[in-house]
Amino acid sequence: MQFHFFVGNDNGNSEHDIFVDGKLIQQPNVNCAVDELPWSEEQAPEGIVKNLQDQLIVTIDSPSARPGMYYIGKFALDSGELLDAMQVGLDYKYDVDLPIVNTLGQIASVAVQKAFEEDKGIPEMIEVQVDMATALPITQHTDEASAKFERKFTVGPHYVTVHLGKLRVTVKVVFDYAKVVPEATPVTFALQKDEEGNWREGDIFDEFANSYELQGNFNGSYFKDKRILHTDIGDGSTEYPITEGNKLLRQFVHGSNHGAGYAIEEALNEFNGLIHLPDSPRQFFSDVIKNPTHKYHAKAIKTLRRPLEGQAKQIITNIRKQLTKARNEIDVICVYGGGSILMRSILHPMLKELCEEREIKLLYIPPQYAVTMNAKGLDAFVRGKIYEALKERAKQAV
Amino acid sequence: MKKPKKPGDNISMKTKKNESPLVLDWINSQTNLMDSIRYLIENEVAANGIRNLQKYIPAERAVSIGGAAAMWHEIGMVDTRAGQSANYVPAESRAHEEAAASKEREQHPAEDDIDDDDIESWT
Repeated sequence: MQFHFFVGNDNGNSEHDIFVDGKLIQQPNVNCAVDELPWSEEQAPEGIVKNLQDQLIVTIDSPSARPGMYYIGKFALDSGELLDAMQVGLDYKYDVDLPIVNTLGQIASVAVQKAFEEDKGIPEMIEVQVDMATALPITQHTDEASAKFERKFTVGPHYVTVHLGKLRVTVKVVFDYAKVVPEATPVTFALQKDEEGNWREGDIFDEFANSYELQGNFNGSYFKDKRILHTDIGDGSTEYPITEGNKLLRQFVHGSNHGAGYAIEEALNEFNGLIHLPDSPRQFFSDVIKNPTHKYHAKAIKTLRRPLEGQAKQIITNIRKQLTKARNEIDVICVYGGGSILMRSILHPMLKELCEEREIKLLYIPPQYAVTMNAKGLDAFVRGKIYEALKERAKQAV
Repeated sequence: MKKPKKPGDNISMKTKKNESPLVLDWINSQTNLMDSIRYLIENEVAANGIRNLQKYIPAERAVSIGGAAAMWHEIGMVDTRAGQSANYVPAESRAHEEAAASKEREQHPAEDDIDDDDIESWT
């Protein structure tokens, strides 16, 4: 059984957003190495397949990561085992195993599901050919680093055993080609077009079109030749690239180590003091922040406010630097990423003022779309002509 | 064997490290490089049909440049004056391009909206 998948892969510090064959998977970007399967009795494999990503256990045999059995994502987080996660500001994504293991795990999980849907059975062996676009933070993105990261995938083949109860399915994953771009840059494609390749429409642009009275049926074609200063606020890094239509302007590539993760780490001690605990994990704090009905929600928000303001001010400083470099020749500042949701109440007014002063339009992506912009951009990129041309060149060079 | 090209596919080309100034000057004076190359292809096909030129042209061609072109180059007057040769390709009128660019809303994406410059910026 053979498949070919396009993969758009955003390995965030806190969340893994990955499009596999057009299906979006969102999982906490953690895993843990384990010695044995957690089940003592038989499980029905068919029952596991449906929500496989939420109970994903794989055994990895790959030249690019430590071999062994892993719980992936949500299942790892809920297991109470010792987690491996990417350390905000410390880990280089191209050096650690986590992105490799979790990417292979998710690709294999979709292959198993697709095989099951297509022929209602579970094969022993599946082969998957993969074309993938993924990204590195701009502060880590050099020609050497991206080549190294690409090679980790393409050096394959990788063998991934997916455990459906006691049943095993072997998935052989071969990367035909992988392209690593600076984070946030492919979002220019996602702003213009939707998954079907039509100009993007919908409520993602409502606030923007209304505030600038861009009447008529507004769509992504507006951005096809615009100079956009991106501000992608993640957990551990913020990216400020500038794109012009389908072009990446290399001379302005810039990133900084600011993000929601730093604010959370800073707030955590004070929060633990307020709720009389010696310590509580970052994940607990994040959950309380996301849950307005939690009894400690108000306390968590209160402790977070000042650290978030600090991060937001740093981000504005970096945006100003970029504007100066580009001599204010920017049409739109576009803000997104998980951190943009938490910082909205602080950042939005500051940016609105800055944009009016410099005659620039502000597109602050609504929260329901903010997190997946990067994955959408990478998915659009891997299916597009530019990827195809780069792949062809790489093949000719060999 | 390479995949045959379909309409709308990309072709990517790279200049040689030691490309002759003449070739570069010609490239740099085009306003629409793809269309200019298309015109050269049309002429070649009209004259000789479809053939693999690699079988008919010498690999080292630095000296085989036509006299007139070489002379223009010598005296630093590379194709900047309209109509000075039979092969002159009129540039697309700028006004027409401006009009197309300022059309704010389109309903359907253009088939071929990625050009070589776009590709180059991502390498």
